[in-house]
Parts: sequence; C-alpha cells; structure tokens
Amino acid sequence: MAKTIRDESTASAYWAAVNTFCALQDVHVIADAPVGCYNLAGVAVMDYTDALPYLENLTPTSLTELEIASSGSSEIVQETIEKLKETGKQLILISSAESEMIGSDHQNMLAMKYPSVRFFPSNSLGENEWRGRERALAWLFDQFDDGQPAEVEPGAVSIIGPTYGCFNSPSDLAEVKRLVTGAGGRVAHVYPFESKAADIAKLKNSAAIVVMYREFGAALAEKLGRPVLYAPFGIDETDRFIEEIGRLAGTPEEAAQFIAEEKRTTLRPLWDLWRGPQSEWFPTIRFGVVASKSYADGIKRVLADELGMQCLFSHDSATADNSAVREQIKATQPQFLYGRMPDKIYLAEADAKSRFIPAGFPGPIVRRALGTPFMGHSGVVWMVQEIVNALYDMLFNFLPITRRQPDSAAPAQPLKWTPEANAILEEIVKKAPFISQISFGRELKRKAENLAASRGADTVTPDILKQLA
Amino acid sequence: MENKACNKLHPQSMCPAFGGLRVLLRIDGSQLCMAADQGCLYGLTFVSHFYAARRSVVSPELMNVQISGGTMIDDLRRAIEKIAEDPAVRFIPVVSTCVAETAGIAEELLPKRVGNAEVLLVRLPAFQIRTHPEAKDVAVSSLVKRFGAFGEPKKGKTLVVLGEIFPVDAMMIGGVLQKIGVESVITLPGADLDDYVQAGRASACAVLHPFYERTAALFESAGVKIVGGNPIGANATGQWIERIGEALDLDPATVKQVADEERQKARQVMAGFESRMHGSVIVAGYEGNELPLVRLLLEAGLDVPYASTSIARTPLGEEDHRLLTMLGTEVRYRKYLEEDMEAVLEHKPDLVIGTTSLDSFAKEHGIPAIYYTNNISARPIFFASGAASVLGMIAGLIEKREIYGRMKEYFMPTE
Repeated sequence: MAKTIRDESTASAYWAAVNTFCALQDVHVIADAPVGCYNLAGVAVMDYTDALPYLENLTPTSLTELEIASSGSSEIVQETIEKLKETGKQLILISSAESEMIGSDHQNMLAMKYPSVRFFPSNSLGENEWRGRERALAWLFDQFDDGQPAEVEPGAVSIIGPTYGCFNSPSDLAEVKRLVTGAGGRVAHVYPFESKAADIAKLKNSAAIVVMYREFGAALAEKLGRPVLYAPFGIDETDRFIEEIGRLAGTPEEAAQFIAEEKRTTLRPLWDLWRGPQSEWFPTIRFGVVASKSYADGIKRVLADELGMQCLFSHDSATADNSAVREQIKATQPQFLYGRMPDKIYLAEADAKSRFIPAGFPGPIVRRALGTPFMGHSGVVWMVQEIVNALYDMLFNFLPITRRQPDSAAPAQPLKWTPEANAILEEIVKKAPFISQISFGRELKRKAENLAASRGADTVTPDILKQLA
Repeated sequence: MENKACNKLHPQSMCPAFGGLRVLLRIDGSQLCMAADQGCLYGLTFVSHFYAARRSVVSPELMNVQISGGTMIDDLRRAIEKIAEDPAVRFIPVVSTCVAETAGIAEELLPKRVGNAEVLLVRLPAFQIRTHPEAKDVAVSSLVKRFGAFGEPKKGKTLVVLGEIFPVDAMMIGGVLQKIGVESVITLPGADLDDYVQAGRASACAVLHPFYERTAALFESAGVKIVGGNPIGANATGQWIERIGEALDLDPATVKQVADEERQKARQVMAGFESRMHGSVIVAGYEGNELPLVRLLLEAGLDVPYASTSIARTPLGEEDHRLLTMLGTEVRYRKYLEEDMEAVLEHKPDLVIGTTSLDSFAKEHGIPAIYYTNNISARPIFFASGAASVLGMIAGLIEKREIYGRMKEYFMPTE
C-alpha cells in the first residue's frame, strides 16, 4: 500500500539533474518535459530558493498531447537540439517523469545523430533529489573524466559542493573555503559550481576532497580515490576538520595555529556570550529541527550536544512523515523551530508562539549573503547570535505597553451602506498607505458598522463616518 | 507587422496545474488530494504554499512501483478516504497531473462523496492545458458544472463576476453594482463551495478575463447571460456598467447616471496623470488578462507598441484585440520568451511589464521592468481608483529610469 504524503518536501531526481547540471558554466540542459516541469524547476521555484530570475541554461521540449499520445518525443528533442547547437555549450539532455512515462530513451538517437550531446536518464519516477544528485555527479565523472592517472598537487583541496537548491549554500561554502585556507590548504576546485563540466577530471589531483553534504557527493568522491572529509558543524567537528586538512595538506602547524587564532577571533563572541548572562538561558531553550540530513544532525549537535539546549526532535526531511511532524509540532510547540515552509504552516495552524528559523527547503528564502552560515565555527556563532537576539525580542514583547484597544470585531448583522457613505469610505481608504489599504478599509468599515449598530441603525450613513474621523 | 522567425524555445506560463490549485486550495473546508509524482508534487506544493494558501497538499505516493504495480487508483481512493475521516473536511478536490493522466484515471472508480466531503476529480495535465490561466477555467468550470444549482429558479438581479480580482476591486465592484440596483453578486473563483452552488441561480455572468471560455459556455448553455469586458479605463468602465444594467434589466436612468459618474471619475483621474504619461510600455505577462491593462495605458496616453500573453486568442478577448490592433499595438498569443525579448530590443521601451525572465532581460538593458503577476494582479485596477493606483505606479517607474541605467552600467558596463 502506497504511503500518503503530506506536503512533499523532497524533490525528484529530475530536479536533481536540473540543479546539478545547470550549475556548470559551460553546460546547457535540455529537459525532455512538459512546460510545467520547466517552469517549476527552472523559473518559479528557482526564483525563491536560489534568488535567480530564471535558469538561462535550461530549455524544455515542452511536450504536448501529440508527443505523449502518438509521436513520442524524438522529433521535438531533435528540433530543440538544432536550435541550441550553435550556443557552443555542452548540451545535456535529461528525462523527466513524464518522458519516462512514455518511455523516451534518446541514447541511440543521440549516438547516431548528435554524438556530442549527452543523455542523462533522470530516473525521476524512481529516485529522490538526493540520490539523483549523487548519481548525476558520478555520471559527470564517467562522461568527462580524462582517464589520466592522478598527479596530486600538494596542498590542493577540492570541494564537491552545492548544486542549485541546496539551502544556504553560499554562506556554508564560504565558511568551508575559509576553514580550508586557514588550515593551510589551497582551494583548487569547487564542483559543480565554479566549474566547467570537464573540470571534473582535475578533482583527482587534489590532496584532499571535501564533501559538503551527507546527502550526496560521496559516490563521486569515491571515484576520485583521494582522502575525503565532510564539511563540519560545531566547535569540535570543525577543529578536527581543520587538523585533518592540515595533516593532508602538509601544514599541521599552520592548522594548529589557526585553531588558536579562531578562539581569539571568530569564536570569541561565543566565549563572551557563554561567560555572560545570555548562555544561562540555553538550558531552558527547547528547539526542534526538520531539515535535510546534514542540517538536522548538525544543528542538533551544536545546540544540544555542545551548548546544552533541549532538542525536542530532529528529523531528516527526506524521510520524515510530515503528518507526524505536524502532530509533533502541535503537541510540543518548541520555542525555536528550525524548519521549512510546511513547518511554518503547521506552527500557524497551531497558533504556536514559536520562533521559526528557516533551515531547509521547501520555502522561499533569500540566503545569498555570505554571513548566515550554519557550518563551521562561523555557523556556531551565527546560530547563537540569532537565538540570543530572538530571546531579546521575546523579552521585549512581554513588557507591558499602553495602547488603544482595537474596536474591530464584526457586527452581528450585516449593515447596508448609502452610496454617499461608500464614497467617503473610498476617499479615506485611498489616503492610507497602499500596503495597508485593505486592512485599513476593513477596520474602518467594521468600526462604522459597529457604531451604526450600537445606535440601532441598519444603514451606514455619512454622519457615522464623520464621527469616526 | 511581420512575425519574425526567432527561435521559440521557452514558453511562458506557470505550471498549468498551478492555476487550478490556486482556485481549489482557496475553498474553505477543502483538503486537496493530488495524483502526482514526487517531482511534480514538490514543485506544485512549493508554489501553492507561496502563492495560493497556507494549507497542506496531500497525495498518495506515485512512483514507478505504484504505476507498474497498477495500484494507483486504489491508493488514491484510500488517500481520499483517509482525508474524509476528518469531519471538518467538506470538499476533496482530486487533481491529477501529467504522470497520473498518462497512466490513466477512470473517474467512475473514484467516489463522489465520502463522509462529510464532496469529491471532485479535476484533470490538469500540463501537456494538454498549456497555461495556468486556462487551468483556472478548467477548475472553475468543473466546480460550476458539478455544484451549480442550475435546476433551481433563477434569481432576477443576481450577477456572477468571473475572474480573480484584487479584494479592493471586489469591494469597488460591489459598491457600484449596488448603486445600479444589482441585488446580489457572486464572485468566482470563490472561497466558499456555496458560491459555486449559488452561481447556478444567477441571471447574468460578467466574464472579466477572456480565458474563462469553458465556464462562460457552461453558463450560457444554462441560460445565463454573458457580459464581456471589464471596468478598466474610463470608456470601458461606463460601457461595462451599462452592459450589466442591460443584461439584468435594471432601471436605465439609474444605470446611465452611475455609468456617467464612474466614467467621469475615471477620466478625471486619468487627466490628473496626463503630464506624466509619456513614453512607451511593453506589456508581456502570462496571466491571460493583459490586454485590458494595455487598453488603460493607451487611453492614458502611453504608447504600447507590443503586448503578449500566454493564452490563445479567444472570442471573449476579441473586442480588446480589435481595439488594440487598431490603435497600433502588435498583439501576440501563446508567446515565447524569445519573441518578447526581440520586442524589447526592437522597441526599446521605457518600461516592461513582463514575466520574471523577460524582466531580467529588460533590466540587463537598463530598462525599468516589473513582474506583471506580482505588481498588476496584486493591485486594484478597476474604476477610477484602480486607474489611479496603476498609473501612479507606472509613472513612478518611468520616472526612475535613470536608476535602472546606473545599475545596468555598474554590472554590465557599455564597452
């Protein structure tokens, strides 16, 4: 029996293919897909996860009934290739769930007619986005590695990094680069971002490979045959990461010095907050996390294991059942919830007073500035800073204030409005700031109706409005 | 003007299914059930949570295992039954998208009612429907067909206003219609299932947007009079009010008086903007209701050399099409991004009101640009106050052209 999904929070392998291949500078992706798969992955969602107007290097075949019901997609794929072959980019054709439904396999056609165009079967009806990214990166190695033996450059460190659709990746990538450099390594390549497709052949020449996420990248790292590290969360893991980079880059002393310097600089705010009154709140803080696996485990390790806060739950978004998450959020109402758009909805449904902190997709969020890391030493400090500031806010909201009581409940009976009264209302509403016109208009309308009702009138007339003004 | 042969590569529409989801998710007491694969579900849930409603989207898992195992319809039935266990759920729209439609869903195998909930299958495959405005029509017509109380006696002075509009516009329309003697107004797409029931008893339907062809045909076949046009700009506002009066057989003197008043008010607003209405604007959204905006801009004195939309040319939009073409606007339907880009290069407008993709292209050329969907659809546009709101924004943008030029020069300096 198929499971019932609430608010699907993990994309498919089709999305993985778009997000991975389009990140490469010299690649243009053709999606064998209907218009919706193009728009959602390449425009609508891309706008709100990665803050890009649209993916300029993605083109759909825009499958219609004709291809689905009778002709198949071979012809439309060829037409699309013809229009794009002058771009000078490496063309990669990917399948979508829908093209897989009609069994479109273009491998042989491409081999015969367009040998330079590569076909990646997304397996979108079989795999989720994380397995899809894993396979897409390994596939890139199989397609574009030069087969030459490795010539290891001492000190070179390459990062198997983010693709599109990886939450908060600019800040985390910047932090990982900072750590590598601080430990004495040299960042050689970041793949797929900051790279061309064929740069994958150079990765094997690195002294060490850093895999940014537990979700994907390990398969490619294994093919490279170099020592592998994972991007760290928290103080301890980050220190071990720095030491290990130092060891592999041949700069152990530099790495040790860097850790000492980190304690004096980057991490110093944590020590100051720890000695100050702020950290005394930590043991009382109840938090929950629903995010991708790296984040779910990482945030828990930092906040609960290292700083002593209470972790109510920490779920991997790819395996969590959102119906259960919804119940758990309602039942526990954590003080801080690190989560996704669905979690924000569940909080709203429960009228929970939790502080929501975006920590994963889905959900619209701009995270392009480099100052919001979760990973590394900087991540610890940023997370703690945000928590303390939120606590200050909560305190502020508890302080008493003097204000007028709103008189805005709707009257029991609907009232009529004379045309004159309506015209006056229109005039008044127009003068309000545009953004608040609706609520202003509604509030005014209710006030007028309440006033009229309190006098036993069944119609709102201009004099009622004048008395409100 | 000749239609140049540029490469047409990127169609401009949201995923069509989203148009239907926006309509269905906003109905009170509904719990949507999708028949869609993981990738489709992820994307549509994402945009629905952003743009439609803060409500859960539920679906039985639909991957290779279920498709090849042939369990899809049973899984769907079980998911529907599970949703219906909640007595607060009164309506379960079942939306099937590309993959489920290709696999094939037999409607007769789905229940019509479970527990307290009505169940309605709405088929929204992107490969067939093409654009999201047209999917709104599919959703609304499915609802009206199923729930409209066409068998009950008509209510004389009752009007259906068909087309998603901004809340302030709905208030304005209500006010004006009350003045001319309309007794009750039902706005569709509605937030209550009962709106669709009551719509069947109306005597006329004002179709504000030209893509509601299926819905309009449905009303027409049930003897509901169809009124075209919309109260945008001075001339059309007066005309629209008069048409409503005629369709509902209202007192002609009152109708004429209100029509004249509203026409005059809109004229005054537009006259107030006269000194600021210089320049050319390209309107190239994908919502299907762009042409009335073009009409307003032309009437206000702006030049609109090119306009395009995602939908096909329809009989309901013919009046605008003829007018705009006569006034020199080149109109394109089912447009591609490349056609719009070419128009920007050719006409070098002072403002582009387009899609996110086209707008980024315009800004790369130092041209002010705004996303039609966010800035026009989310703003009053009807009657005098709507004209003031839209023209004020447009004048402001054209006057800020220099900022766009500076930003462009900073990031993409002219050699």
